[in-house]
Amino acid sequence: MLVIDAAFVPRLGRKARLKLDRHANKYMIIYPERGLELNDAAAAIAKKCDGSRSVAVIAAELAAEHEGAPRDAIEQDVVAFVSMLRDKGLLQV
Amino acid sequence: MTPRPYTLIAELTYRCPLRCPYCSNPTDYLAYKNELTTEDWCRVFGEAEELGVVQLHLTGGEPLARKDLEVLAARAREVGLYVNLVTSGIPLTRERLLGLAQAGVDHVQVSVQSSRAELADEIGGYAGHARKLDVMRWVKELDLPLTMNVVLHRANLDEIDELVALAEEVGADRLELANTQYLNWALSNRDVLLPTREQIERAAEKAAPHRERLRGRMDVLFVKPDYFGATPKACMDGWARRFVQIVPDGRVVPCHAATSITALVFENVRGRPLKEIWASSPALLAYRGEAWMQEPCRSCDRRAIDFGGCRCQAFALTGDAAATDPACHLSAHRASIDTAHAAADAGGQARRYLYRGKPPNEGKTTP
Ligand code: SF4
Ligand code: SF4
Repeated sequence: MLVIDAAFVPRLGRKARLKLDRHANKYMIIYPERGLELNDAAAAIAKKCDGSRSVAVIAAELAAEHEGAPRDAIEQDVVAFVSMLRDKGLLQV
Repeated sequence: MTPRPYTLIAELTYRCPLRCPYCSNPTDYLAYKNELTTEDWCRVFGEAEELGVVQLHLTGGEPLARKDLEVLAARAREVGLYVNLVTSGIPLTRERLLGLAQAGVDHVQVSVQSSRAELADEIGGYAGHARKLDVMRWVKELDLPLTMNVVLHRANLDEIDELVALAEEVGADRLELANTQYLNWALSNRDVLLPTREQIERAAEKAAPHRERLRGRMDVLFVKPDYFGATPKACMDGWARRFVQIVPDGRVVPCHAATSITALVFENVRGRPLKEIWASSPALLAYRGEAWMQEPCRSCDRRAIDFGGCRCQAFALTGDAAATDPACHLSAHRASIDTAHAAADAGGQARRYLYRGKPPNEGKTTP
């Protein structure tokens, strides 16, 4: 199975669509017959899963955007979120 | 508070070249001649999106029978819905599939009747299996997500390994191993379709390791049928709660079998905006929430989990749509299901299906 580490470059797969749900004003990932409501932290990560940044870069950008946030903890969150996307088959592989 | 529906199941037509003996269409499907127009559906998709819907299932019958399917898919995509095409794959060409993908179809679900061509064609009452394999390959060639759906019953339940292998071979992203729900046509064919309890156990045991092995590559779904449990399933996540369905003539219903509940009068999107129907149609309010419940559901801890089960099944098996689903061990009517099990375990009925529709070529029909 795909290993998600700091160097991994995540990209949402073809079947997943990230969309701002205008009713709840929250981001959602919609995919075949299912939907995943994202909280703000998850949405911030999902928006960066575009195949141009590694997990480490995503964590660094998020840390910079939220001053004082611990980078290591953010990186763990990114790994966890991206792993969840992998398990659901929502990553481009 | 009025719940938000996330999914619209648009049954565009009940026409279909196949004749599956477990079909979820109403047994009086031939009476649905007055199909909604292209304009009606286009308006309704916008109304559904306003109501909160994000997922759209274009289904039937066979949605490909609608010549305006491309227009409908494009409109649905335009208003931001995720467009699932639920099809038998008959009749489809690669060109039309390409056109549908360009129009906005996001995902294709193809039904397969068996891993063995001969049996598949017997079950579907139509020689279509070979074409379905082509269709599934085209879907992947066009880089669309693919679900292979198999309705499971006595004749194909022992094929789990073969079905998984087929799904892997065609590159499916999801495999739905969907045990038959005994409503509509499936209820008419229950004595032939119902598997033995041992078959179900074996199939569940076989599916589990595939699910683990394929995690992240293919989502393997195997849901044990409600007949085989002690408590019912949360049918549709509750009556008129997360799913809204529209039948070909425009009536708004909560699920596939709801029109079988003869006392309910469902309102039509031709006469009133979807939003108003969803919020106040007496038929949708009838079993929404918990107020309608009788004992034992009324005081049961599981009522917020399974919503008392399926209203259509309660009606079909007890004559009272507000009764506890007989799939529940606490139902006074559970015996009707246990009797069916006993008959199935003892060997069941010979494989002679009651098919919908007329045979495609009289005189040369399946056994
Ligand atoms: S279940 Fe079979 S007969 Fe019914 S609509 Fe689907 S393909 Fe057609
Ligand atoms: S009694 Fe009603 S609520 Fe309780 S488990 Fe049975 S069907 Fe569900």
